[in-house]
Amino acid sequence: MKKWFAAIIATFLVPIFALFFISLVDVDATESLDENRKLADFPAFSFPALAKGDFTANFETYYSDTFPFRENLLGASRTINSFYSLSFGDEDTILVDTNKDWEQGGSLIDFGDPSLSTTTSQTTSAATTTEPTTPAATTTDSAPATSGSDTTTSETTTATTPVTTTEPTTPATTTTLLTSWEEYTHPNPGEVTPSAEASDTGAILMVGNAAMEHYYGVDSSLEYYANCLNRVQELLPHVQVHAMFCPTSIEFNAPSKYQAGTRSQLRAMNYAYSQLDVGIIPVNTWAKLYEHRDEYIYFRTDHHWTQRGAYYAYTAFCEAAGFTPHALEEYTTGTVENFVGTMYVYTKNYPQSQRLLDNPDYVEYFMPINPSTMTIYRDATLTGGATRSVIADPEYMAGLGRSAKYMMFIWGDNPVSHIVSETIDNDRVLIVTKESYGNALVPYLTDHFEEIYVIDPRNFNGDGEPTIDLVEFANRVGATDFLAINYAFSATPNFMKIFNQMLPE
Amino acid sequence: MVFSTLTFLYFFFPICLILYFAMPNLRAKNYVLMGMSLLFYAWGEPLCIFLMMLTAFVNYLAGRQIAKAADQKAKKRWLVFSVAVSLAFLVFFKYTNFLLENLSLIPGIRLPGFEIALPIGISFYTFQALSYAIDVYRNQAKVQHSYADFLLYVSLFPQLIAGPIVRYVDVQNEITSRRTTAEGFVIGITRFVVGLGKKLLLANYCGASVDKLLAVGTDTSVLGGWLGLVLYAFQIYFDFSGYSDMAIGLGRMFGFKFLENFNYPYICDSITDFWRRWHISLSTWFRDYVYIPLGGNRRGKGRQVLNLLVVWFLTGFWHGASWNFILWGLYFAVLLMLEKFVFAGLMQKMPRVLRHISALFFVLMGWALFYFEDLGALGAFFARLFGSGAGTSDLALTLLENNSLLLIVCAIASTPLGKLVRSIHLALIHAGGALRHISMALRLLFNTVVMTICTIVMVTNTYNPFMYFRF
Repeated sequence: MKKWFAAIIATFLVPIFALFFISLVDVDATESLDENRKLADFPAFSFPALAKGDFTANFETYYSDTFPFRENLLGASRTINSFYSLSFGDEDTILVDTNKDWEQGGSLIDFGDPSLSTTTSQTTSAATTTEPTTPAATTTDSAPATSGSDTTTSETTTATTPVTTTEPTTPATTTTLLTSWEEYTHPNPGEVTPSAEASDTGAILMVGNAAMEHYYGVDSSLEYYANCLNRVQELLPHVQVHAMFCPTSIEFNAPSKYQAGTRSQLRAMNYAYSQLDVGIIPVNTWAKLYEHRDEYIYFRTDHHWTQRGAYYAYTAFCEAAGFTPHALEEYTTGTVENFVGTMYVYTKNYPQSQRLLDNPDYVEYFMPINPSTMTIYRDATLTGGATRSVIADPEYMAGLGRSAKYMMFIWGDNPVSHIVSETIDNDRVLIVTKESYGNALVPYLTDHFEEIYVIDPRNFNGDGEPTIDLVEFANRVGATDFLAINYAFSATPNFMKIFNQMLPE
Repeated sequence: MVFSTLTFLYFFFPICLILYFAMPNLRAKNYVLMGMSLLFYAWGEPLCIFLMMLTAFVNYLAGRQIAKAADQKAKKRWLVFSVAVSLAFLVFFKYTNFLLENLSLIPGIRLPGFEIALPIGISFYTFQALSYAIDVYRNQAKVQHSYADFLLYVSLFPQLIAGPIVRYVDVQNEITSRRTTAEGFVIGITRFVVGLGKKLLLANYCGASVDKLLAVGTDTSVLGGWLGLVLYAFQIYFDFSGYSDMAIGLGRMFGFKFLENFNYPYICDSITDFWRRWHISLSTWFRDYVYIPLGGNRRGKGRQVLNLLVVWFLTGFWHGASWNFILWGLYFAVLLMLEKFVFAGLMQKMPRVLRHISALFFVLMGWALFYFEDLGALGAFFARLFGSGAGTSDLALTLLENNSLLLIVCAIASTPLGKLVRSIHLALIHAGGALRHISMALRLLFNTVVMTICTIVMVTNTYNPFMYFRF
């Protein structure tokens, strides 16, 4: 028996001591490529931190982040989780604790870089070399922006009087031309099943090789969203506000019961737009995306739309705002292979995710037709920015990790990006607020506005973050237009509360 | 610090073992254990550790004075002193805001609220320390002359934060004379591993779905309500009994034998039976230090009813400063009295299956009281359980599907199957020969497999993907 006791004690203690000693002497990993995040550093010691319990809490994070063989152990967890995530049948729904606190988007810009204030030549030159459209740009004139050829919508005469912040009379011209949102009815009503019980999200549905998030549109959330935009229009009467609600993959790629009742993003869009004040221009993205639902408009392994999907939303925007969109064929296009995005990251610990990894997406891009320069700033003071191309060099992107590829568009989620067109001269200055859905769409807009300011509200007004006052900012830069891009999951108080912090009390 | 973390198991624990077993004698070992216990507590409560040391000191002092005092009156004075001071700390840190809030409900009274953080484990260590002073007063425990040894008893890290509530008399001899044997260590390992598995592999996974189904504003279906409640019942049981298992196992590794805290409560066939099996160290504490001193059942039925109400009011209140916990306690008082005074005859005639089902039903309803601190939400939940909303929902069906195996395993793990396996294991060891070796090999395998899986899960729990990161 003594031998057995010794054996049991040894098999219990040897691994514990071995891992303990290894963790003391090994070189800590600093980042996790799989999770796309930086791992915790050893916490700095201070007595106040100790008294508050922060030091020990940070130490725990550090210790588990740098635990020996962490990546291998994580890899093994999928086998274990198969026990806890049984699913039967063709459509798998698994419940995943997605991080919906809007912590932080991703960016390709290192704001800690001291050279940030200077123009980094390599990236800009990379961009110009990969943009064969640049010479052609001079031939494409900036006409579409001002011509307003579309008779179904407004003439948007505000465009001609852009910087006049003291002229509150101008909006009247647009508001009179607009009526409130008319409900858009489903073109094929037979596809819609009557209703479904609403409940919490956090569920990921897998159909074939595609993963998508369950959506439930709650009326009060949609009202909150609409009211925020109403406030913007009220605070900035001389600026034309546009609202763009972007449906997600599940609306077009899942069996019809997933678009029933409160799950319907068409219903959600209709309801949200119906709550907008007259004068705000709603963009019917749904209809255009539905029309092209058989094309590659959504990623299968990521929650975003593709830039092709964003293109159809852009055409809807043009239709609503009175621009003539460019045809898809006009763009210089290409692809970056091997993209495996957030849907995989969320479900990575579940065995069902393997088929996402085995069937990666690719990122299709469409280079803007007119040349422009984009400067990315860390805050609203617009000082010390970094100059980058609107779409990052595809070769550079190909070299990044498999989950980083969507950051190709306007270099990910940055506080403020200022895009100045080199050819468009229509005095229209657009402010875009967005989460990452907007990133793929902004490049198309550079062909229609003289200047665009892209703001990601998640980077502002939080703890330790710079502040921004949207009204002051809009007046300062002489904004003529404002576009709020929200995908279905951000047209919610969760995200719009952060948005709201940009508005005065 | 929590047992089920990498920091405990792969950092604190090995350091503690090295220091402990490097010490030449028990005295030095005790100092190590006390130092590590204080570190263990300070890890999560860097400031409140002084409160714990003070509570320990008050009771230590009272114990000495009670033992020293010549007459009964003086003894009593010191007892009252220790009880009053200990309870004052407890009330202040745990109940101040609750009391202020409720007093403010009286018209004309407006009291401000304070920000008082509840010190971890205060309910447990206060009761431990009190049991000592009372037992010394009753001449049931020997007086402890060393503050360090007494502090070791109060702060002993295996049971410090979440019980079991170890009484001083049960460990007084082990503090100064205990032996750590290989056999005891092996028993401790398996016990710890079982507890770790319960916590990490059952309780946490049950808990992951509970809020999704029960929290206000989530699911509203009947199925979801029942599923959530059953998962919650499993979560509480495996979480709490798993913690007790780990405490008992760790104690055993250092030579302490703590009493059992759970005895398969979900196989109970009455509420009376349930409370003999659930959180035993707490119910015996209230029995010995409140119910019996109040007269128990020896002063007539009327007095017994009152005593039961007092004890169960306190039991509920002990769990938290909120009305739902009080309601939860009194709910059990009513059920226990009904069983004792009204349905005793009927219950004897009922088949065991029916008694079991009805007992489980009432236990489950109790967990609903335990879950919902808001009484309005509680009412809505009961309406939902009995059919106010839709029968099923996508979420409930998905969670039922995802968790189907987990539910089956939890149900099996709630039965005394583990006990049966253990007795077979022991019988095989006694049988000797090859059977003994097979039996021990299986035990080794069990420990290793569970530890490995638990470690993977602990690492996974830290898996914290952000969408992207800044380069």
